[in-house]
Amino acid sequence: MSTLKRIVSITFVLLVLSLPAYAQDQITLLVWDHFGSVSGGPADMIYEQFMAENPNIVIQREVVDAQQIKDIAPTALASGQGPDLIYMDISDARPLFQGGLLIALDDYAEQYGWYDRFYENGLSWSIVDGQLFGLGMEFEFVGVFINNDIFEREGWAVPTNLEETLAYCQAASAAGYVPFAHGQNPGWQTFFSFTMPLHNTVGVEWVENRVFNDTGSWDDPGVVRAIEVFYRDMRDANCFDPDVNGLDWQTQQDLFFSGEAPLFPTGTWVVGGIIQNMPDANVTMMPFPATVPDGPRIYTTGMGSAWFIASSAANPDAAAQLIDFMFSDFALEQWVEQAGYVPPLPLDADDYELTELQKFVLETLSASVDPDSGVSLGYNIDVLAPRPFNTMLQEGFQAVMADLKSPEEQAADLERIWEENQE
Amino acid sequence: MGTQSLSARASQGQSGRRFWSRYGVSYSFILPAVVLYIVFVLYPFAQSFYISLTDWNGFDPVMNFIGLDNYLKLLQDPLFWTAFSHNIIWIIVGSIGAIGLGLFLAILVSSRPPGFLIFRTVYFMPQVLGPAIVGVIWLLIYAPRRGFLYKVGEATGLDFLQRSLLANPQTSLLGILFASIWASIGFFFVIFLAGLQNVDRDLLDAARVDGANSWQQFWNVTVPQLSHVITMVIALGMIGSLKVFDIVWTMTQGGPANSSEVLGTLAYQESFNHTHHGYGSAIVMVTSALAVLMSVVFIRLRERRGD
Repeated sequence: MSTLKRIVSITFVLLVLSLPAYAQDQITLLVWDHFGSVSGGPADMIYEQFMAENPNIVIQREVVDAQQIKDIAPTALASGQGPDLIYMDISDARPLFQGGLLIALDDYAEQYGWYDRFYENGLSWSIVDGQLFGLGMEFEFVGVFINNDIFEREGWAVPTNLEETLAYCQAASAAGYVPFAHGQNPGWQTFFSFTMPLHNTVGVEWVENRVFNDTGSWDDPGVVRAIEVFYRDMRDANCFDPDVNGLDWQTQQDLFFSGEAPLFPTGTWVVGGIIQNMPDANVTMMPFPATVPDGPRIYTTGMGSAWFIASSAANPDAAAQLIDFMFSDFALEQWVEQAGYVPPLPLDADDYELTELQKFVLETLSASVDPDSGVSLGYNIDVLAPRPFNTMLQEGFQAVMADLKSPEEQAADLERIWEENQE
Repeated sequence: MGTQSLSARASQGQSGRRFWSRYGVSYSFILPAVVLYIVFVLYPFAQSFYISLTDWNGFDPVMNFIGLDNYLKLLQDPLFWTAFSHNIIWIIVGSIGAIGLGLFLAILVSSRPPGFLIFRTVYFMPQVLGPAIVGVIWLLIYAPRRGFLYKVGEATGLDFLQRSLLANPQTSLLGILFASIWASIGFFFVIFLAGLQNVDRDLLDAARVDGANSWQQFWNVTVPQLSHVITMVIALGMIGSLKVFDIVWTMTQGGPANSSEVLGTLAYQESFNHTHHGYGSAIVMVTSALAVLMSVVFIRLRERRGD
């Protein structure tokens, strides 16, 4: 054999022999997330950048619908063949952590300094029995988005209390609008159609006592009144589409984006969609109108989805490394500017190119964690409630809207379900 | 005393060998199917039954045995009875409706009129679609403010078309049933079409000569000869109506306000949403038992009537 052929052969053999060693150094992370049309692009960029900076880690991404992920995650994680890293709702992940399917992240929090970087308020949503089990990325609050262009064109005043709201609904529906872009299909939207008037009617302290201190009762007359405000007074004033029980999330958004609905009661997770679909519209946000005379108007806050590491993850260190990268300067720029997310850590609005609406959201959330700011937010109860309670919110309020159930009956059912599922 | 003689034992051995030499090949052919059936049907069924006797949440390593508590809970659960009633409605309206329409269409084309191949293809076409796809198609038709029916109503001024069947608890189940009937007519159509090919034409001619009109010919000649086919499709329809899930979950997830909840969606909700796998399995066990019971009773009644 010639010398050249000998060299080529030996080189080839060495390469083949080194492949297993190379493969052993390579880590594959299976990631499940539900980033959609608005956030999917930024997510892809962040994954690509992470892999560029960490060539030994390959991210295998699978997008799973947000509603579906909670149904299939337990089975997938329990099988040991599921994702290493999963991005899902905190309230759905909590029982999985308590069941041993997710690991605690306290050691990684110490390693990466998360306790110092993140707001305590932001971390508390994913702490149970003193253990941190997830890292939330969507610090959000719920209120009502306003298409001010329509109000100016029609000469209406934006309603600030119940009386003005009912008058506005009558006028808007007569003019051919859908006054509030509210829908109840599949029903998670009822989490907020209950929470917002509830806080304005009974106050933040009452909700804190019920949820955290187990005092009071969900069939309190104040709760019943809050249900009546939305599901009787507003419904009967034609505030909603007649088929509100069948209106799904996409149609709700379409109604607001297309200008068919001047008001949109929902959370700040929709800001990215508003920027994308209504770039030139004058859209602002307000808390739900006051439901009692001279009563409060409270934004309610919560943490959306968070990052969790599976107990079966082959390389939890790499998974934690990816989680930490999700909050790097590069990633934050994508999340904040492109996706409209507000991660729960100190962010200066001047560091990003933001619309006025995005600045408002960021500054409101930042102020809410500052005890001297005077900004106080309520609680998105669904994040703290057991799943059967949330199911009762969905199915029960569909029934209330259709007059199949009274507000008193729904309040009594909420109390019963809450008590039955307290651990 | 009590012992077999050598010749008796030898005789038994010979008969055993004869049995295997006669039937051994046959059993060896069906053995793989039996093994697969045991592994993929009977074993999971037995496992589900055991899970129904526990309070398992789907991922805890320990399953706590609680006996029949899940079944007692089920009997007292108003939502279970609501879902069961919807399945009964599905049997009556969904199955019988699809079977009746399938038979009607089969009779129309059994005489092979011009365009027979086109009609057969068109009637059968929805059957090739999966239930979830059927659900998505009809969602687009029923959707509030964006659906096909809404747009037709808007264009024509027909207000009732602008109200979505699926958004109203009074009509949501009906809307899903309509979609299901549309999708399943084709299945019953081809079965009846095949059955009609075997109807004795001589008997029909004789009935016509005797002065029987079309309805009398159909009821007194055709239907009796389709008796076994009718029994089979109704039994299949009942079983299908009890285990329906995909189309309901796709279109309404059992809502609004549980108005289209069926046993399948209830079991899914309890198992995967509420992580009450034990209770969900109990619902599945009861559904399976009902399917077997109802179909066996029905077939026995039909056979007795046939005797």
